[in-house]
Amino acid sequence: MEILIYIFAILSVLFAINMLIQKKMINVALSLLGCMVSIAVLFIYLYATFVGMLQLIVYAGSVMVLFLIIITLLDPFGKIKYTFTSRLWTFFVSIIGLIFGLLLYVIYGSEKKVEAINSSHFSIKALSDRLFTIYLLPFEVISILILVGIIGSIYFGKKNLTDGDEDENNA
Amino acid sequence: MKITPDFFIYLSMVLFSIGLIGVLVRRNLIVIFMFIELMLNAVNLSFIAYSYKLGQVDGQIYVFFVMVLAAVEVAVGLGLIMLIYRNKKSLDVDEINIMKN
Repeated sequence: MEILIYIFAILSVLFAINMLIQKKMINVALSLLGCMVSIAVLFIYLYATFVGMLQLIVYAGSVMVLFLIIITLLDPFGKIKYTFTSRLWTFFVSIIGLIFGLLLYVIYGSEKKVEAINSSHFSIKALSDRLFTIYLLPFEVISILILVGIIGSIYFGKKNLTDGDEDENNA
Repeated sequence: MKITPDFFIYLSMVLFSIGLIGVLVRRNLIVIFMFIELMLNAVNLSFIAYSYKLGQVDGQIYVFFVMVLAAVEVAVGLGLIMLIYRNKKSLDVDEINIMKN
């Protein structure tokens, strides 16, 4: 059981590194899919069953479908090959090394004690109990956010939306 | 023998750093978007690991909200990318510098 989790953890890191080195967009998208599925397995191991299934449905399902639709729409034959930024590579990597070290320092210095785990703390009942009482207001606000997102994406999808003066004529 | 939650926190740290490298180093708009999704996933993993470590379910609720946010972000952002591609005929961030001059 535990060996399986280690395998999925290593797989998620390998998929993420593969995302960095692939040239075609479609390969990057499929690596991201593998990474998300591996992370969903880790979620389920950590008693987050509901969130793990949500990860599979929302991320690995709808978000990846959106990405694949856009890729096949914009670049159906995989013609767009693209590179890394040639300049400033070492600068970026050193900055990220600095951030990595800072995170390591903070996490290593944090509390080591693990609370006694009781799997009933993480049941769907406990989660929905808190979600619909204490977190009811954020829950409602985020539904408004989804509505705003839908309206915005419909507006951006309009046919005759171009830059410059034509925009004012259409508006 | 359960794996300690610290293992997952370190794992999320590694994934977050890889995502940050990708956002800074790659030049294609869609790929930058994918790396932002990877960073959000890494943060979600650390939320879940801390929720497991502290024995409280609140972290999972935050992950729920982050997922909704990510879905909205992708829907709006990909609409914007379509619009940019239609006007500029390019996805390279170096060529999308209309704010520069």
